[in-house]
Amino acid sequence: MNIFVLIGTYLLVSALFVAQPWLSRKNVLFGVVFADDDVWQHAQAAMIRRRYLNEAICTALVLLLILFFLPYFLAKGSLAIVFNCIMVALILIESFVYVLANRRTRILKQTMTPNAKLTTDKVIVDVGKSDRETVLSLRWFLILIPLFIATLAVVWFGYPYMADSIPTHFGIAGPDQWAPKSWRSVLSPVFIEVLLGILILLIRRAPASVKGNPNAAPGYAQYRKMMGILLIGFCLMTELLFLLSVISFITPIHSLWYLAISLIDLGFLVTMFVLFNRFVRNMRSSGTILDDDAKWIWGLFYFNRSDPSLFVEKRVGIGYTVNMARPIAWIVLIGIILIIVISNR
Amino acid sequence: MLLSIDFGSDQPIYTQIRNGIVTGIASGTLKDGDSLPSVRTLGAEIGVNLHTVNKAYQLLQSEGFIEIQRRRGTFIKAGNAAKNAAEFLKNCGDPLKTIVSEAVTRRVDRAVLHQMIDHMYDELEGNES
Repeated sequence: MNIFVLIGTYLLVSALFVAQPWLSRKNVLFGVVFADDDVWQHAQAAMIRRRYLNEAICTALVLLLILFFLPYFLAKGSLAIVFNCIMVALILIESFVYVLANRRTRILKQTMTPNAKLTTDKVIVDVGKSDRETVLSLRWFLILIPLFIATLAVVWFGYPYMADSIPTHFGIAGPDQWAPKSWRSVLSPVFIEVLLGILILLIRRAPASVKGNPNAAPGYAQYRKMMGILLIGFCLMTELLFLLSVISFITPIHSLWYLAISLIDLGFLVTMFVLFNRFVRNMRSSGTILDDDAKWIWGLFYFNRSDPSLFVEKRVGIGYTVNMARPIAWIVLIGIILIIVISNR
Repeated sequence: MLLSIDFGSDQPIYTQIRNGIVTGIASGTLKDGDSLPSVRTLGAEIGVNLHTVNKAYQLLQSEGFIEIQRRRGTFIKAGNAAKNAAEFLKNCGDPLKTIVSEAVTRRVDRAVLHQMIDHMYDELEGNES
């Protein structure tokens, strides 16, 4: 693997951890919900935030140093293993630092005078809106069908003409891992497309991570729709990538195609950040807020037996997470992991 | 229309949903033809089991307040409810009797209770115009 790609991945993951306090609604701090945005200015909350920043940055720097120097003391060719170990350590330690910050925030919340706007047993919902207004229409999924069928057709009719070794992994400049030709290896793009489609279907109704009344997460329904469209766009690009890759099993494809798709995907990522900032981070919540900290284990994992949702908006971070209390959510998670593992083998 | 659900209340949640929607129709905030969120969406938003929402919707449909169309969704259709007025009057005798009995034992003047009901009527119908 390219050393710059490794360092880049490392820096990106550490930056995401360091940025956690900015990746939630302003009345949510380390997964703990408060009555209003004022908590962002609260002196002790600022202290918890600073302490988290110090710990998170130090962890990232120390592990980076280890990443730099450890390979010198080890046998040649072990860089990939060292990198993977360091990445696992980074994720575990940074998560632990986050959990500590979550604990401190919970303690801070207990010491603050209870706010009447924060309730544990009241929810106000808007029943005047139909699904057509709040949930992404299934028609959007029709866009995905032509390329899917095209990919399937190329695999089906092109199989005899494909080379004996099939690319299974794509870097910025095209394929960088190969596997022997088999129906499983040529069909793996199709599996992943189906999986992506199912995932987008499942997040169509994912509720906001802050509830209580329609103004607890103002504009959330539109945000969720836009995220859905964005993800369908991403899925479409992935389909195109896979269609090109199965074509490349038969005849070579210019690597500029892969670069263009990577750039478009980068554009989607940037748009996602912009949408998040505009419709989540900078929206001011008002009215009664449901205090459901108990449903967010360590401020990270959602576990709510009474919530029928499989997927919910992440409390901290951009995107969606599963409701751990739903067995089907576990099956979906394990399914994703299995498909990724099987198609990567 | 905003529907308020109290998890701490003695009233079951499906009853709260049903009552809230009936009040919405009475006050005119929910009109004939208005669509309601699907069972799944409402369940996810309140954070309750789909059966709870389904129970409320089925009840509302059997009482003639809404119409559930398999493909198109759920709509307010209070026309049927007006036809069932006689049955409603028969059923509401018992709970009303309990309230009047309590009023009598607490020596509440009948005029006061009348006034209260009139006021509620005015409030709901006033919004309608």
